[in-house]
Amino acid sequence: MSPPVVMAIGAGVSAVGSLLGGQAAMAAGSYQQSIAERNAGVYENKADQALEIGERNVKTFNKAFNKVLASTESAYIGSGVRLSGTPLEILEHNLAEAEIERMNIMYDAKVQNYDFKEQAVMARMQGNLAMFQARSQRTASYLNAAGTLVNVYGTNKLISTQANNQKILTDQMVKHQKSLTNQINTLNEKLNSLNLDNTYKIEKNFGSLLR
Amino acid sequence: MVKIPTFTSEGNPQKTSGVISQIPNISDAATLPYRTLSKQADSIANLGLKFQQQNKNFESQLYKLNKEQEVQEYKIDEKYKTDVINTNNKLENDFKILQLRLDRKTLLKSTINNILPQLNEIKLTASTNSNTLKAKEEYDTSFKQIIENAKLNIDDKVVKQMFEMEVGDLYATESQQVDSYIRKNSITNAKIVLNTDKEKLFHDYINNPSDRPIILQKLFSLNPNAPGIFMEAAMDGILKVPPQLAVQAAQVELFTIEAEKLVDENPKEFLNLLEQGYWKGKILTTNIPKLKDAAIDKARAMDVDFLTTHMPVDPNMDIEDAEVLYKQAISGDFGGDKNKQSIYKNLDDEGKADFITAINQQRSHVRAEISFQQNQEQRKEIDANNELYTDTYGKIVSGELTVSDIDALGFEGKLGVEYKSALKNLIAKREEGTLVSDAGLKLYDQAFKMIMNGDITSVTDKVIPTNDGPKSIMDITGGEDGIGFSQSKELYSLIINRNNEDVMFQKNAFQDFLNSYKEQILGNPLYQKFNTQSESRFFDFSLIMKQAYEQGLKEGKSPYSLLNSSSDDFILKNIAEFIPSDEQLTDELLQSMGVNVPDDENLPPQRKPDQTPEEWMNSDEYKTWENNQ
Repeated sequence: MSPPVVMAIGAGVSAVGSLLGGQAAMAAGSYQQSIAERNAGVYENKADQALEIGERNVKTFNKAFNKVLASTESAYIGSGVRLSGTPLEILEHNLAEAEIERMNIMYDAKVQNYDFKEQAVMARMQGNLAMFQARSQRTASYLNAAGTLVNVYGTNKLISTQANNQKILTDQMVKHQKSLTNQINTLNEKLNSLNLDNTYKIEKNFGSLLR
Repeated sequence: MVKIPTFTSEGNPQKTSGVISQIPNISDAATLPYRTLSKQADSIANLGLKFQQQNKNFESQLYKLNKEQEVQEYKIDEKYKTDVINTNNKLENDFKILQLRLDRKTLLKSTINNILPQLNEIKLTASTNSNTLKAKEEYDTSFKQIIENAKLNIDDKVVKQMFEMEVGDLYATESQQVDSYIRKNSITNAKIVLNTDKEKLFHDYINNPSDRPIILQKLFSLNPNAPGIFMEAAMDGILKVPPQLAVQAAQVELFTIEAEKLVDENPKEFLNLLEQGYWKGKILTTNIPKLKDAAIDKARAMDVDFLTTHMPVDPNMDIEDAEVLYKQAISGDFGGDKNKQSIYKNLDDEGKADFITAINQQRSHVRAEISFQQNQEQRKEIDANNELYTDTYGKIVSGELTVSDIDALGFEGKLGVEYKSALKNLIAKREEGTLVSDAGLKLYDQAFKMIMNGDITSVTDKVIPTNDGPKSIMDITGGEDGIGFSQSKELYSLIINRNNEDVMFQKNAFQDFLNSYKEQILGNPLYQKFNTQSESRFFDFSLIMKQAYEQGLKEGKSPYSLLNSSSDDFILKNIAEFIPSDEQLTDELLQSMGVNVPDDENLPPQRKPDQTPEEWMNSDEYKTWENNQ
């Protein structure tokens, strides 16, 4: 099997693995989101229950206050105090205090309700976060896969280009070598021809002296 | 007092709103894709960087490679240029060196050529010097003097050294020859003296019978105290054999001469002495039968000759008178002459047959003589034709006559017509340029040497090497590449005289003389192979010299006096008229190459010694000449 094919297969396996990892992250994220949704539901129930508890505590207070109020009125009446001026102011004070008490009770209930709602939101948010992370991982896995393929393609291209360049260089070197050889041969031929011409000239003019 | 219940809220809100939630870290998740993207982008950017780096590297390497190639090509080109310059410098140097060598060689050659005639002369002097004891010493002195004089004209030290070496070799060769000549001269002189003495004594012995005892003593005595000539020669170391053998041989020779003389002059006396036993031990026994037969034949022939004189050859006699004498002789009557009748009768059968043959021949001779006398007028006519033919041939060869001139010549009879036809053909050949010249010098020299060496003994010996195989003198006579007729005739003369030492010496000495002046007459050796006229000039020179030499010999002058420059009879009085000037050589060379030589009037003005070529070409004289052109 040729190296490029091996590389292509490796790149394919890596890309698929990366894609599958993305899918797995999405599944895990989805699961985490469902758990967070359930937790959010629990927290919402708890919020509702906190309000109900507050209202029930207000009712309980009301009953108790009403008893206090009745005894007060009775006292007044029993004492022959007219319910004007100060007694009335006291009554009014009691009523105001009672209202404050009720408001305190409801405040705590509402605060708890809010907190649970807040926790529900947080749970949902965590679910969303898990999904977000899963999506990010999936996106990253896509990018990884694509990047791997691009890298492998690029590396392959780099290697083939390098091989091609090397071939061009080698061809060029061979071409140059041939050119040099031809040049040397041509010039040698010329030189030999010149030498022959010179030898002929000497032979023609002084041949008898050379023997 | 009644207590009025009052209600005061004592409770306070217990709860505080809000739940502190830990702030979730979403930045990791939020930035993860971007980080991933960034990381991948980094990788890609790295990859891009690598690409860029790779491209830069590639471009750089390619650039480097191309630059290195340029440098290599430049270096190779530069090396080539340097090599070319070196090669051309070497050629220039070689040319200068070789030119110097050539100049030196030419100077050496011309110096040697110039002294060759003088060396030849002193060799000739030594070889003909009768004073053999001093001949070599005189030769050496003259040789050294010639060399020293020649060296005075050589300025170049190297040429001087080369000349000394060359002269050393030349001396070794020449000196050996001279020694040989002198030694031969010495021996020859002694032998000549011995032979002269012997011939004189033989002559005296034959012609003075009364002095014979003394003569025999002078000839053949082996007594050291009173030696004969052979004993003396043996004591001088001239004889190759012991004196006894030489005396024996001379005795046989002398008595054989005596016997042969007697056989020739008086055969009947020889036969008488033979019967008396006179020849026993004096001549070779094996020669006796031959001499005896010869004496008998001679005696018979003398008788036949004597009887034949009955019919003398007289051109003025009538044919009828001659017939009468013939009939008297053939009948044995001889007009009543008793002596002749007696001789005739004593002839044997062979003698009578010889007589009949002889008298018949005599009859033919007489008739022919009478007939010749009658045709003498006709004969004169033929001779006149021949003389005219020879004279005309010479004029045709020299280009003086045309065909119409031949018709106008006074040839006579049928022979005259044939001569005219042959001479017209000769003119036609001359006009066609196929007339044979006598300038085949190399071939002639070669044949001459081969005759002198004994390689050629006949004009038909096919031993002369040519491009077409070995050829004879007859084969190479005529034709474009052959020798001329006069050369052929000269070689023939040499062959028939090859056993005549005097003639051979004369011819050899003359040939040496010609060869010694050959280089000077041919001109500068550098131009000889291109100059087609140099051989012709030398041939003309050799003809003139030959004519003078032969004329001198006819007048009785010696080869030595004719060929020696110090002699008044020297045949080459003025060599300058035969040596070509540089201008003449240049003209000949140009003509040989087919270039027309301009007239002197058309030549540019001579450049003055202190003028540069530019000054010369800008001078008024040159411009005037140029305008005229």
